[in-house]
Order: sequence, then structure tokens, then C-alpha cells
Amino acid sequence: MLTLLRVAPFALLLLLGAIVVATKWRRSATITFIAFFLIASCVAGFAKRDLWPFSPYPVIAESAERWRESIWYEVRAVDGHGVEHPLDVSPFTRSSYEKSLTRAWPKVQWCARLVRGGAPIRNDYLLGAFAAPDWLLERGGRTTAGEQTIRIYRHDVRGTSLVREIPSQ
Amino acid sequence: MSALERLFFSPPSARGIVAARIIVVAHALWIVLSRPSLWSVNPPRDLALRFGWLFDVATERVLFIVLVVAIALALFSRVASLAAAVLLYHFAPLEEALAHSGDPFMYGLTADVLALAVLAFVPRVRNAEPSGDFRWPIVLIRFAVAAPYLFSLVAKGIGWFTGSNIANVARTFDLIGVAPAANLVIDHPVLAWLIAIGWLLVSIGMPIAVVSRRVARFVVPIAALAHLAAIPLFGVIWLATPLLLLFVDYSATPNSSAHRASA
Repeated sequence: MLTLLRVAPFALLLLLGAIVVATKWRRSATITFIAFFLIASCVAGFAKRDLWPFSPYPVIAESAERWRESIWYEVRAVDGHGVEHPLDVSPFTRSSYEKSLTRAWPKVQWCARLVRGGAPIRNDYLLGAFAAPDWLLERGGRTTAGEQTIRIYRHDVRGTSLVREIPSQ
Repeated sequence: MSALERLFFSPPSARGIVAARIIVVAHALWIVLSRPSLWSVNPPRDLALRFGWLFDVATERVLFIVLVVAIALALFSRVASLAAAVLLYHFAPLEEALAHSGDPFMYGLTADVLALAVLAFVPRVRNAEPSGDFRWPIVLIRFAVAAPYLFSLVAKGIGWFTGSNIANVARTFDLIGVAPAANLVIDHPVLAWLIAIGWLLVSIGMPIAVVSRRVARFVVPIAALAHLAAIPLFGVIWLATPLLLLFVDYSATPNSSAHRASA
């Protein structure tokens, strides 16, 4: 029921838009469309309700006073020679994968197991260096394929420590 | 004519709509083509009904191709614009679904979904006379771009915008190793306060820029510069930054600008 309520604003927007076109842009229909768009946005924003794509946008909204309690897991790929590289987690971005590690810890999954339909295409396959980056600045550029192992490092106020090594197979 | 009527229906040329289509389509294609196998993400079951993640992987692959074609055709076609909006609604939150952190807007496509949905219901622009119906879609799309500034201000509260909190934000991103120049903010309280006050003003100014050209002329470039500065200082890349180009007034002809300036 809650799911349907969250779909409703976007579905209703499209319905009202269709009415605008069907009435050949009659002023009352257009004003209803405009009003609904603004009201749905404001309900999501001011009441802090997730009605995506009408969103409350809690962008880094918490106070950072407790920054010392922050924990972040970073993944690195290790090639056959034991050399570490940044891990390519296509079709995800590293921030979403690393955030999922924090949420799912200690039940960590190799990112390839989180996709279906065979090996994913690299995110930079089509646009190369012009591909949209992750929203979190990546450390150390992009990786090569063929990693043997992934290493998971934990960043916290005490520094960086290796917490797990997962073989690819 | 009331102020609201002037805001939503004062007739500009169709050029604003054409420009908005170009910007939104280019931006949406940039992000979608940067995630070419988004269709292969194994979606979480609890959100399947909400976003229509009910198909097998072969169907998702076909839908993704249809999405790319629909976004490209949205330059010319309202039906394609509608299809692109619906398919983006289906695909855009997938990247975030793994992290399940409730912030699909960080991945850059939220305003595009709304913009394409609005552009689907715009009158035909080819050879069209200036019309009030070319104005309200631009206002709504600009509102969608400005909404993150306004509502994140609501979510944060005024108390968030202090020098010490900004320095702590920089410390957090420094700790996770993504902010190469965070020390500039951490070590210089004056800079941290400048960022706090500047960002508060941008957060207040962006929604005003939707209704005021004068405010837009100042606030939008500052917002763009702030997003660029946030990359080394905090390691945060706001992927919707190119959509700030929607605040340029493309309806004004060079002649009318010159006329206004001389007046």
C-alpha cells in the first residue's frame, strides 16, 4: 500500500499532463498540472517524505559533529602479481558498492554476484574518459580487469586497516 | 496580468523549450551512457513493485536500449520524452538500490526524470508563435533543478551552516580518503565560515532564481563555482551541475537584450 502511495505522485503527474494535452492546453488543466508539480515537490521536501522523483534531498544533512565515528569500507583489487588497483565495480559506482559493504557487513558479496546476465559492461566502455564519474571522488583512477582477489580496507579515525581479503572464485 | 500569470505564462519564444530539450537530453544521455549495463543490476525485491523491477534480464536489456533511443528522440518528440521519463523512473534508482541508502538524487538523474515528464506535455514548437505555454515548462524544470538546494536546506536546518560543521564535514570526507584538499577547510576556519555562509546563500538564492532573472544572474554562476570547488575540498561531485545551464534565458533575442540594456 505504501509502495503504491509513493508511486502515485509521479503517475498522477503523467495523468495530469495527458489531460493538459487532451484539452489542448486549456488554462485550467495547465494550472492544475503546474500546481500539482509544485505541491508534490513541496510535500516531499518540507514533510521530508520520499516520493521520488519528488525528493526531500537530504544531501549530507546530518550534523558532522560525530565525524570521529565515521567508518568507510574501501575495496581494492589485487592482480595476479599481488599489486593493488582500484576495483572496477561496474555497473555500480564505487560509492554505492562501498556503502553497501558498510550496510551489509559482515555479509559481503563480490560485486559480480550482484548482477545478472553475465559479465557487466564497464561503466566507461562507451564514453571513455568522458563517462560520468561517481558522485564521490574516486581514489586512484580506474582499474584493470582480471583481479584475483579483493581486499577490503576500513577507514576510521584510527587510520586505515585491512579487514578482509576475498578470493574472486 | 498578475505576477503569477507573468511568471508562468508571459509568452517567450519556443527557443527556450528547444534549449531545455537539448540540455536535458544531453545530460540524461551522458549519465545513462556512463552506466551501460545498468539493466543487469539485480534489483532488491522490496522496491520491485514501486519501480517496476519485475522483468527478466533479457527484457531489461531491451528496455534499456529503448530508453537510450527514447532519450535521444526526446529532442524532437513528446511521445519519446514521455517514454524516456517513464523508463528513467524505472532505471535511475537502480544504481542506488544496492546501497539502499535512500539517495537516488546523488546519481544525477532525478531532475532529468521530472524535466522529461514536463517536456512531454509541451505544445509543438516547430514554427510556433511565442506562447505562454512555452513559459511554464521552463519554470517547472528550473524548479526541479533548484529543489535540491531548497529542500536540502530544509533537511539540514540553518544550524548546519556553521564554520565548525563545515570543517567537520571536510574531516569526514578526509577520513574516508576522497577529499584531496580537505585540509584547506579544516585548517582555515575563515574559509570554513565563508563556505558555510556562501552555501546558505546559494541554498536560499537558487529557488529565488527560478522566479528572478536578476538573482539567477548572480546565484547560478556562484552555485556552479561552488560545485567545482566542492570536488577537491569535499570529494563530492554534484552530477546535476550541468543542468544549471537551464537558468540561462534562451528566449531573449540579442536585439531584446540590447534594447533592455539601452533602456
